[in-house]
Amino acid sequence: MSRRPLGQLEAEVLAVLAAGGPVSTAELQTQIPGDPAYTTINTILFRLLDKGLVTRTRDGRQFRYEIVVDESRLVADRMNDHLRFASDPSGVLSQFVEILSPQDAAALRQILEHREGVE
Amino acid sequence: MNWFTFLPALITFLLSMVLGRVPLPLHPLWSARVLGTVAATTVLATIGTFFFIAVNYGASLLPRVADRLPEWALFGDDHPVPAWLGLPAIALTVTGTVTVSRLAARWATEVRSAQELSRGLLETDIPVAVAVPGRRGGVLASKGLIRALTTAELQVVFEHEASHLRHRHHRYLAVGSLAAGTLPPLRRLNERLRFCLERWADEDAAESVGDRGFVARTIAKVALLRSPSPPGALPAFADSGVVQRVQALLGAAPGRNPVSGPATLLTTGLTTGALALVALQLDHALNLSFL
Repeated sequence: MSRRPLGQLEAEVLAVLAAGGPVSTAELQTQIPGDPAYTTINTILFRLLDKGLVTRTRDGRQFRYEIVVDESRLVADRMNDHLRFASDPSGVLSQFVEILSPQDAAALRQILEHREGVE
Repeated sequence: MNWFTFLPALITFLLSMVLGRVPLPLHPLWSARVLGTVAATTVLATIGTFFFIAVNYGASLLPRVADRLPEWALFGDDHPVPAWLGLPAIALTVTGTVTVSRLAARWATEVRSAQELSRGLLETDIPVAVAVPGRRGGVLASKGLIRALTTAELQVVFEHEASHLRHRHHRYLAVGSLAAGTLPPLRRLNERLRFCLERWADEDAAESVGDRGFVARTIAKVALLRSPSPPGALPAFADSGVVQRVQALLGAAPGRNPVSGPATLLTTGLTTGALALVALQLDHALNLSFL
């Protein structure tokens, strides 16, 4: 199976799973906005399982899913990668946001506070 | 060779310097395209000029070899290139080539390791989201990001990164850092280009989410999560891209420039493209007498 980019629904499922504990498909279905079909959630979970992003444990007649990050990925050299992407990506990779200076962070807070005051 | 030899490189270079300092009054989508085009043609024109000066200097040193060169590669006059010009030209051509290949190698490893990592989530509490180009790419997110954001906020992040991937922003980034790497004075142009690409993706995200204020708050939230600073620090000045992006999103949506955008891009593309062609001696090579 070809690997797909982390899609919107996958991200939402992961978000719910990341919030905590093993969750069943039915519980997930109620927690994802937009009222997705049970089979859709199942497909997403299956895909995540295939990618090794979640594990499942049998609980009676159903499975409970849990988010997993392969700990073997945390060997020293990969750790460097993580830190590099977390701090200084350059060249062809661009991050959602760059790190702010304390002044910028303060300015940003002020802008937001000012805006909330207006609304 | 005469002073006109330097003209194409000089004009594109000056244009790059100006565009690195003065923001274009266009939608970020058009600004990014114009800046990317100018960065690419400036590098071509400058490297091309130095390369041909180096070739002609070599030809005046070794007339035997010069006889084997195609006629278009030579400036076609009998004035030999002086050493004070020829030697730096050789040095600049070599450093330029080395820089280009070094950058290319670095990207290849960077993208490959990011592709490898984008199979899963990054095991870090730092909220990270990176668009990884390529068939095996996708959005590389960290556990910290997924944990810290609501699903609606995650949608903003993913729409933003999806826009980067959809419009192949990594190509612009590559051109920009190539320009900044080979010609350090173009760093400002590269920074502005990167900023325009972020703004472009922000606008795309705002369009699909349908709430500019929410996109602004999400960007601010992620940025502030990454920079826990003690409250009370007074803002000296807000020059960072994030602050400008948030401010832009809190304002009205920029016009799409359906006419002025393409017109600006076409004009700059044609002029700087022609200048780059001249610098690369392709007008002689292809017998383009109109240039």
